[in-house]
Amino acid sequence: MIQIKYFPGTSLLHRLDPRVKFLLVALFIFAEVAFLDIRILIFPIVASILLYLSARIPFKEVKGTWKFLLGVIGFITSVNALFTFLGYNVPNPHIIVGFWVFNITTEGIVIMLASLMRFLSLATISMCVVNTTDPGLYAPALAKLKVPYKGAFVVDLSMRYFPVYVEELETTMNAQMARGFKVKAKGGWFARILNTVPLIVPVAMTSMLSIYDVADAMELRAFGAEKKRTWYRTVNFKQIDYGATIILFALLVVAVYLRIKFPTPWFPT
Amino acid sequence: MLGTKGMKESFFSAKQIVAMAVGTALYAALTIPFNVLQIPGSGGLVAIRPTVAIPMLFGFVFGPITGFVSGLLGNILSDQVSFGGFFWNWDIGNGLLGAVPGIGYFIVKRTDWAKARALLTSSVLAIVGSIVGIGFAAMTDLAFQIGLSTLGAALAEFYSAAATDAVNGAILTPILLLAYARATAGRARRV
Repeated sequence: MIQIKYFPGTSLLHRLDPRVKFLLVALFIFAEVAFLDIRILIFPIVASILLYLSARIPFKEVKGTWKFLLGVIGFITSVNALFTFLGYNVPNPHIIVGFWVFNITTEGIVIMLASLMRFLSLATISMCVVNTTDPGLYAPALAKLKVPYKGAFVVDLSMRYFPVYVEELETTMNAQMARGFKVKAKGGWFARILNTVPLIVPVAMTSMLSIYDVADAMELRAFGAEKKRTWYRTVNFKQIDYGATIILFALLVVAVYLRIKFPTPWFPT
Repeated sequence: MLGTKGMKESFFSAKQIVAMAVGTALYAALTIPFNVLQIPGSGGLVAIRPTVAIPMLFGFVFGPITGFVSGLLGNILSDQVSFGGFFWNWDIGNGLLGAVPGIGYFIVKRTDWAKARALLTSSVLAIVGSIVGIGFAAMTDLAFQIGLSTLGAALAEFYSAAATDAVNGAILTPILLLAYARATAGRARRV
């Protein structure tokens, strides 16, 4: 069954309120966009790896995920390396090896490594958060963050519909295969795109036509009449959450200071 | 030529809220099997995301906000299920990919959806949406050096992703729009 990869547990990350984890991701995004200095980027990457290990996510369950992610990283790095060594321009580059039109420079390696570290640290921390947060708590957490309840409701409703549509797709695929539909299409681009039509169209049409019935049912129950609403599940800050929030805000202050102190990329001399 | 009904319709009505949720769930649910399980058309870059047509269609039919939310949240959800990751700039890029075809919501009459001009408009907007959405993602990757550090690499990423999304969107969005127009024909409540 295709679903969000959530693994229940008792680690620190598991016990944290989803709102604190949103803050954690926000901090990593800040680090990702703010820091150019590779020496500083080591901190988020080490922190994300330590947090990931502390969550004790069963590796067997996420092996495929890591394979996929490493594939993406490998592809991006190859493309990046190609263009970096083709013509990355910094004043007085230190050429290590040069061949044909490529120049492997110290600066190029550092810049490329920094890009890779940003990507990997954000991927790791977001995996930590997703793997340790009950999907049913996202909407109540957003509501507690004062996100308008209609917005939180979109998240809640889409989480409920998601497995239904996955099942609908499987049913449609089986039904179409019984009618002679071939999963692997032969032919060029156009033929392959058109081959997806017998799957996408029925599922999309069924779900789109149901929108009005659901909306009618919601309006009959006075959806939107009140400015606030309650949630069946809720989240509450505990001591550990207050502590974590203070630490995260302190780290944010440190991060801002480091950004001001080290505004440019650093290259080894 | 205003495509909306005579009365003003809120972008946050119950219908729009449900449309956002359905668009999000549909985009995610269809994307994951196509990407991870490699169902139809696997083995070629062109089949990376035939489902980009979903937020584009939702944008065209329900407006730019619904298109944006469907693309944004749908991408977040599919990424979470596929590998548990979160890449904010690609999520926003996918949102833009759904928002741009939302222009069609304002310029095409609902009763004209099945006409050639409307279908062509949806196709053109799908291409523009792909360029804007993927352009945003690739350029922010470069601006913040997320995985990429050179303009050449960002352009390579942009050309490959935008081209495949544009081809998929340009072909599938009008097909879906035509199917929806036919399915809703005669149902006054559903247009």
